[in-house]
Amino acid sequence: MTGSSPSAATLKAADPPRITPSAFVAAVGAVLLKDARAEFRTRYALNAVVLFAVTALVTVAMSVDGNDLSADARAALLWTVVFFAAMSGLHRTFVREEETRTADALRLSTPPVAVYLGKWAFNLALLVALEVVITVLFVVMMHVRVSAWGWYLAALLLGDLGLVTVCTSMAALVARARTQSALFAVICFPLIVPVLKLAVTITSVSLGGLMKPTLLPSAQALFAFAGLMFTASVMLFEIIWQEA
Amino acid sequence: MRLEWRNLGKRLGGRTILANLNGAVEAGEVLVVTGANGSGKTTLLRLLAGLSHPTAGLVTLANGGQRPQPMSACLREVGFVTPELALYGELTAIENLDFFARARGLRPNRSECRRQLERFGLGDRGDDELRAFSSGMKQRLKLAFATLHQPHVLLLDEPGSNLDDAGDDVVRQLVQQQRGRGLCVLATNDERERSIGDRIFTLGRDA
Repeated sequence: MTGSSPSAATLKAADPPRITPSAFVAAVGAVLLKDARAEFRTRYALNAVVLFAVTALVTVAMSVDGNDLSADARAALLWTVVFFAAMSGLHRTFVREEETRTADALRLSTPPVAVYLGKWAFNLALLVALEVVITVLFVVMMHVRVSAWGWYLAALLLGDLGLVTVCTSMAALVARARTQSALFAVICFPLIVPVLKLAVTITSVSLGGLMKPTLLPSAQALFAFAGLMFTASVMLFEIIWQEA
Repeated sequence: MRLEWRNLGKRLGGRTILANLNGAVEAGEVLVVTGANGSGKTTLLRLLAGLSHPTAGLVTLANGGQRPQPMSACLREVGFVTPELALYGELTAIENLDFFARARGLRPNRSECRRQLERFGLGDRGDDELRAFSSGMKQRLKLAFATLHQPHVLLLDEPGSNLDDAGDDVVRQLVQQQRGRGLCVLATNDERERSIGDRIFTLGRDA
């Protein structure tokens, strides 16, 4: 292998440090595509997430008949599986950048908020894909009948937004810590409890539970919580992402 | 253009790595930083890159007639190569360059990325994943990554590590080209690399 002369490069910088809105969107897309491509080749988070979800659901399905469970219990079971699957996989997106020493290259090249949004979108896509699998298993193995698909999908979507926003932000926070997994679960817990409580309420109704007067306020509260967390995360991410 | 650091200090893990450091590099200049192992060469370059925050003092970059900016606000003006920085092993060389170009707000196409690889002697390995690369080839790709966006500030920490003689020539030419684009700081203890610089800044002695 020989090295040829590194003559003048053909790519021109886009007036750094400013970045146009279209270039910012392209940067977000680049982070999302890069993570998806890397995940597709390594199955790094996917294996952990899917394995946990399938194992948990199969174990419960073999032990109890879904018909014996109340709608509240079924909804709680669904979100317990989603929660632990998220805990086992979603924090890897930042931890892996630190472990493989690629985080500095990302810091040098990508606007911090574009990093956050790209990874947030990747985690959301991962969780939605997981929930497709979980929903199929849930319906087939637990004999669950969804009576209101609109509310079921709304619960999943709003719950995912809350879960992914909390997990992505906290993952960035703990990525350089020595005991990331334990710390991640501990600091996520108080923020995720309200998300789970509200998501279970909405899911329960969609699975045939009693129509509760708190249904719509629960959906509004979940949306507001996810929106608030998302806004705070976007505003604070640059501080979290920078090295001390 | 002027990269300047004043009263710069850094403590890590309760230990003082750098203290009361002052210096500057002007446009067209190449500064070589030397010093014994553990003297803080890499720490200094991380501070100059804006990747690490000083515990004391300030690093600024003044471009043209503009007011000096803290380096942490100028990350995207920097090209940085260091043994502590890695690229994505599960992506191919082309995919790595394409990703970093897009992340920087550039609009590359595949042939431009391939030309950049050819400049660094990797033209025939563009479609191979990085995990199949040797250490020297990874180092060449890091140099391609650092100069893809034609940075005004090029920071090279032991750029010749793992490189063969042809790779050393590439580094030498790269540094010469950087003189016309901006400035360069090169941290090394290698005698041949030291000869590239205009001035030598020895940590532990000058600092």
